[in-house]
Amino acid sequence: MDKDLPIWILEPELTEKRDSSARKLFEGGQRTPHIPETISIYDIKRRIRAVREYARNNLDMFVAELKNNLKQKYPQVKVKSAQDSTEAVEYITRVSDGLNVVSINNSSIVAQELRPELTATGFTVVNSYLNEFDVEKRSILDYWDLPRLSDKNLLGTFEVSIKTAGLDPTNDTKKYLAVLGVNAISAEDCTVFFLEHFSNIHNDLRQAEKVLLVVGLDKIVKDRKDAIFQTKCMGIFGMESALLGIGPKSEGTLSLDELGLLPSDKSRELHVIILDNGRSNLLQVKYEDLFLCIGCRACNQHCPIQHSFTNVDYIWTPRNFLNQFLSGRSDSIDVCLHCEACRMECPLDIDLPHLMWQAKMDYVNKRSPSFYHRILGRPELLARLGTPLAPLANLLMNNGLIRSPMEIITGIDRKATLPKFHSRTFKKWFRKNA
Amino acid sequence: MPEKLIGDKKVVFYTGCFANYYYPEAGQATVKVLRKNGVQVIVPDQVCCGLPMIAKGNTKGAYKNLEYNVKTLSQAVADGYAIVTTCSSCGRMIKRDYPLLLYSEQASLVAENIYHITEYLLKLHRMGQLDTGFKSLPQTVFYHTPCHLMAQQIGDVSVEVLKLVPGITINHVGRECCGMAGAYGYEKKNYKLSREIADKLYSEIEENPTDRIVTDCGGCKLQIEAGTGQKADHPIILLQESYGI
Repeated sequence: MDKDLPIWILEPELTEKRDSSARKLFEGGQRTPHIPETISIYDIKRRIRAVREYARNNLDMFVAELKNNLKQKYPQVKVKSAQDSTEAVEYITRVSDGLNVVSINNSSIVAQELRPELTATGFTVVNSYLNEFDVEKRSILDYWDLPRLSDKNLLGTFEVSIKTAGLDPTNDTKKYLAVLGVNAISAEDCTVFFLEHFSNIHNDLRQAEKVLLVVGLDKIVKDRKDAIFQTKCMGIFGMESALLGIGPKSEGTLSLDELGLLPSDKSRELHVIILDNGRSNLLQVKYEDLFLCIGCRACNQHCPIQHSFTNVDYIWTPRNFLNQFLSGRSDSIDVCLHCEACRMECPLDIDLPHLMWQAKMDYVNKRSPSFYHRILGRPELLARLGTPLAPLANLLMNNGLIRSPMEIITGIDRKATLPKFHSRTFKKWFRKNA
Repeated sequence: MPEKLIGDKKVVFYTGCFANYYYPEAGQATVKVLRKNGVQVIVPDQVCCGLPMIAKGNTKGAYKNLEYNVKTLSQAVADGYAIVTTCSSCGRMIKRDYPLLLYSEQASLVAENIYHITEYLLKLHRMGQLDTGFKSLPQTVFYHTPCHLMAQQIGDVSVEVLKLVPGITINHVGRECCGMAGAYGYEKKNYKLSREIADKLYSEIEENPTDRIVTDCGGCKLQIEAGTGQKADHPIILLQESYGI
């Protein structure tokens, strides 16, 4: 009899709380059975970078190994390699066998890359993760009151809590598809890892008639040890930004319970879709660091513009924003303030601001900047023009009659307070005081 | 070598556009404070650091500027001068992006030897070479940390230096982005978003009233002044006042 594909789920653990209590008892003279060794956040960052670089540098080998192992060890699992989202959705449509409800988790690969085409194909798509929250308005403007990143027992924050294998032949199977983006998969033994904050993934694995596990190329790592570590890191570093994406359900969307799904008596099916969708393009030297991303969304934590992207049809993070641009799904990279908060939060040290600029420079090499930007891209020329006429220029800059046409010509908002020119620049002063 | 250049007390001042064209007082204060500390200051020909140019897609123009600045500044470093700037954005650009964009030894040399003005003064202080004859400045201060100073990952250098001045009480150190980002906040398409981002900072200022608002960034200064009606000063201005020069 065929073995079942192992699927492990990691959830937040109470270890940290337990350990802090243990430490307090210990400091008070009480004997305690276990105080874990403190692990430095820098050690974790170094280790995850090494895991990701190893996976990236050996990608072709690991993809081949994974496919071969799935075929040899788990022949009952149907495996599909899809070049892009269209091919993946065509496959999902083909195997759906009349089922028209799709439950997805909140991973970017399904919520961002597959959802639009699934919806366009006619599926009713439910993000079951969001249904776990009873939220009436988007009011979360700060981060979870969870332990902040510091040299604490971070590795104990997320632990494997559920180990399943294959799909249970349960009695409460329902007529729907679950399309779930996995967090990591081991090429060596094919163990699948999910990070779950509540119970949506577990429920889908238990109930959906057909389960399709979507594996981005960037989720394939060497072995179970690396896969569990990558999933843990996603939990640890993404902990504080997890709730930022939580909002009220869109009008007209129903939860799985509300859809009144019928019970299914068919045998359950497990599929694995290995999806490229532009990922292998990232392996070119310029953008190869983006392939290291574990999708933790830490880059979002202090991004000043995150809250203005609540209505986009993808999960807003600076990394996803860049991804949208590089894959041609968005035509502007200009909304980034280039504040660098994302770079400082990234556990992989991915230099997102520099990559944004790289993308911008590649773009303007092919297509000219806008007329407005051709003016604003010459700041020193503008300053030199204004300086000799300083008092007059300053007067005109505050004149409503001037600002309206100026807004049309330069794109500078008429309400913006502009800096004042000085006829005596610093350099003039310095020449007299050298 | 970088530390040795600080000890030699020879500085090339990279003014950036803001201190030259829009805030000459900060440039003048920098020269006066450095001279007060026995530092020789030169200001060779220089052009815009290129940050606002790349941000608006003027790549060709930016690269010309990068090469021009690197030529001038690397020569100054070779002649024994450390580079100092009052602008946290120019500083970040030169420190971080010049080597990434130019891949040259000269760009790295310039990047390794440029200091934010208060970073430089703090280093002088740690070497026992800062004149600490400050007069008391009995004022409360709200200090706003610019994103690009945080991005340099050099700590709260301006706060540390201001703490050396007797009388100054730093009541609050803010870290909210001001939303200006050079010309970003002026653009019609970004104006509303820019002010929304700044609202957090404005509330922070309102909740922490002080005698002075201080920040190192020209963009932050303009955004604060536009939204609160209060003046915001560069920390070098307070040091100049405290020295009485």
